[in-house]
Amino acid sequence: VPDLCSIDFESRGNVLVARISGEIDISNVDAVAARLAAMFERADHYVVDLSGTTHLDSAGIHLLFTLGERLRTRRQTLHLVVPSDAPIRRVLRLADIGAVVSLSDDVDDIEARAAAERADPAP
Amino acid sequence: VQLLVVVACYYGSAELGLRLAVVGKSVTPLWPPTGVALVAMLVLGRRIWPAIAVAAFAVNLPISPNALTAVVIATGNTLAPLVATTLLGRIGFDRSLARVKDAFVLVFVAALASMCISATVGSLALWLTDAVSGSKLAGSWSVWWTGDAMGVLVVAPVLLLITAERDRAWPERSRLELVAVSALVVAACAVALLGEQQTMFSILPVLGWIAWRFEQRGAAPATLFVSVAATLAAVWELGPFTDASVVHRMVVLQSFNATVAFSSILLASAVSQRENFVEHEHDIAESLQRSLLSERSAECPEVASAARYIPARAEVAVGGDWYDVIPLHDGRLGFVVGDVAGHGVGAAAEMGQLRMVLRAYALEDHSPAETLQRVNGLLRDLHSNAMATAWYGCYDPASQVLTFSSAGHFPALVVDADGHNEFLDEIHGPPLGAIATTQYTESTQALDGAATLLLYTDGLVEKRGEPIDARLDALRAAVSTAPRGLDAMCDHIVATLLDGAIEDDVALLALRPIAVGGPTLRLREPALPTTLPAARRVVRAWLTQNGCSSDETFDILVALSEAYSNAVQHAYGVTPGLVEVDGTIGDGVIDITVSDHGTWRSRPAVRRDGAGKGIRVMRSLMDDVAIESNGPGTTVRMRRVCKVPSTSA
Repeated sequence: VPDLCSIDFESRGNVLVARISGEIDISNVDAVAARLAAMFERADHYVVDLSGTTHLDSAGIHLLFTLGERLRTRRQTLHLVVPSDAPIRRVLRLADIGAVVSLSDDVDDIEARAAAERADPAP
Repeated sequence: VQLLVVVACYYGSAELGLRLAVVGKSVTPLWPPTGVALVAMLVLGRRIWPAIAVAAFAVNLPISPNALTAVVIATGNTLAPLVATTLLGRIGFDRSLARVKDAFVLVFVAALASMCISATVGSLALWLTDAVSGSKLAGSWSVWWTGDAMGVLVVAPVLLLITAERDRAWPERSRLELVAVSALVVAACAVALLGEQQTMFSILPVLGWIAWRFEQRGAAPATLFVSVAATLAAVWELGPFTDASVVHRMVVLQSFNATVAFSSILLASAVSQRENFVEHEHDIAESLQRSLLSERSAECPEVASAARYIPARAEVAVGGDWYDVIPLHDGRLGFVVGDVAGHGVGAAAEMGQLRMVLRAYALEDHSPAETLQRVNGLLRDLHSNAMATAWYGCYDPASQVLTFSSAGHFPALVVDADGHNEFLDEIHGPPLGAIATTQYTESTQALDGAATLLLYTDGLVEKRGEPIDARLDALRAAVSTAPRGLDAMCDHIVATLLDGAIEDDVALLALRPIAVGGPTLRLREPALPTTLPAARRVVRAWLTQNGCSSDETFDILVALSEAYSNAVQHAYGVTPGLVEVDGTIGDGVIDITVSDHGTWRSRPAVRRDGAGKGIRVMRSLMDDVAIESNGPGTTVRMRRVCKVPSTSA
């Protein structure tokens, strides 16, 4: 059985980007969570790029909430990248995920903010 | 009761043995009770020894000088089989005598070595009571010893055979042969034992034949018969035993009986061992095959399939036939059928490897031609000697197009709803592993929901003495009259083409894409997380073919996933039941129900972290959602109004 989704990791300075392409549901959400947790150790900023994610339901939303909460307790930040016209944005908005994580249109935006923060560390 | 039976058998066989006495009343060249005692201990356990001791005492009392001597002789007669049984147990003797080792152990350990004990004890007892003079001690010992040993060699195999649980039926042909060969044994005995001495050993080839054809269960009774006949001839001074001294008769008789018993038992064991090895190898290869093929072609609700795998008869080693159904990305499906050249465990193992290699390349989304190309290249790089014909096709349910490539395999057959059929004749390259540098090509074929695709291996169509074209025509004829149901179709084809004669392995795979274009949808899947992606694929194809936009399709699929996930997570206990998905579409209104027959263990509560938010998501994405829990089972009804072209006429 082919993987329902693939995850590519990319490190940009102090930003780690995880690109999830494909679908997330109850059949693979635990595997996705384990792979993300294994990589999310070193950087300050974490980006989950959902541009290539074609299906996301409450199983995936639960995963993103849990991840966001855990990083927040470690004073790290989780950013989600979701194109404004992507269908999954509707699902994320329904779940009010913006209360826990930040939503952006693309990765460059987050990277710029992270770079600015590094040049001028917050008090 | 067992003890009484053993006592009776021992005593009875002793009486028979004494009838064969050559010297005096008690020294006989064949002493069956030792065989009875040995088998009794082997089968019933050594605890049976008191029965042997009592019976031996009863037998020896009337023929011994006094009671004490009888006690001593009985002790020796009990000790010998006891020691033999212990030694056989230590060595790991198998009562079926199916290995050469067992035959050797029976001959040398149980018969020749252990029976020294009874011969020594018995002879010394007679000598001490002056029943036998010192000068005759050696002679008495040797007759005693050979008598006991022959009792084991001649009688024990027959008794072991009778007590063995393994019971194979005699084939009709064997039964006739058995009657013929039995008559021949009687005739040969008559000639050998009533004629001159030189003809005595002419009986050996007949015994050899019996051992070869019928193994231990033929050889053991024949040996017993021949030995008893020879002993009787010696007692009655017939044929070769006419006008000879007692010693001469004994020597000839014992050497003859020993030759008969040794050669029969050993040859029969050698044949059994070889047969068992061949059978064993066949079993290994077959279970290897089955373990690879029995995997459920899981999670492909888009395609209905039926498969038949029939291994060749036991005399022929199984081959390397295989088939495979591979779920690919985006709902496409791969179908494979192949046949590794050669037979036996090696071919079955190569088949397992090739099947996995092909599967791996197919899952990397290579086209059929490219997949075969890579498998062929890998065989070349590994310097593998494996060679296989293979057919790999990839079916896209969305476009209803099959793309396929054949590496020297028999052509697939496409059957329409009325049974009309045609071969997909194209061959796209030589068998895998045949030519290192080959460019495989591929073809395409439209395949709608009414069509059936039949894949098979050579065992189905090749038959000795018949031209292959005639057999392929026979296949087409069988298919055109076959029932429409996939299982019934496979059974009809196998029954028509093979009529019972399986010369080579047969693999047959029938595949039919399930039509998802109609106004209704029906899915029944096990309530497991792993079935959700496939269910979504089917519903996606159904919605797309009914003209739903991608945004509408997305919303409905998320809502479906929520309802489906709830059924998977909450409806059933450890044993999963079914999730039922039904859909109707008409005038732009799509109704989908997701039902289960379990009792939700807990109603999912809406919490902040997203768990239990499924119901809220459903309500937001669909126009109407109703959840009914009445009795066992929960039904979620969802409605969505779409901007699809009207389906009414």
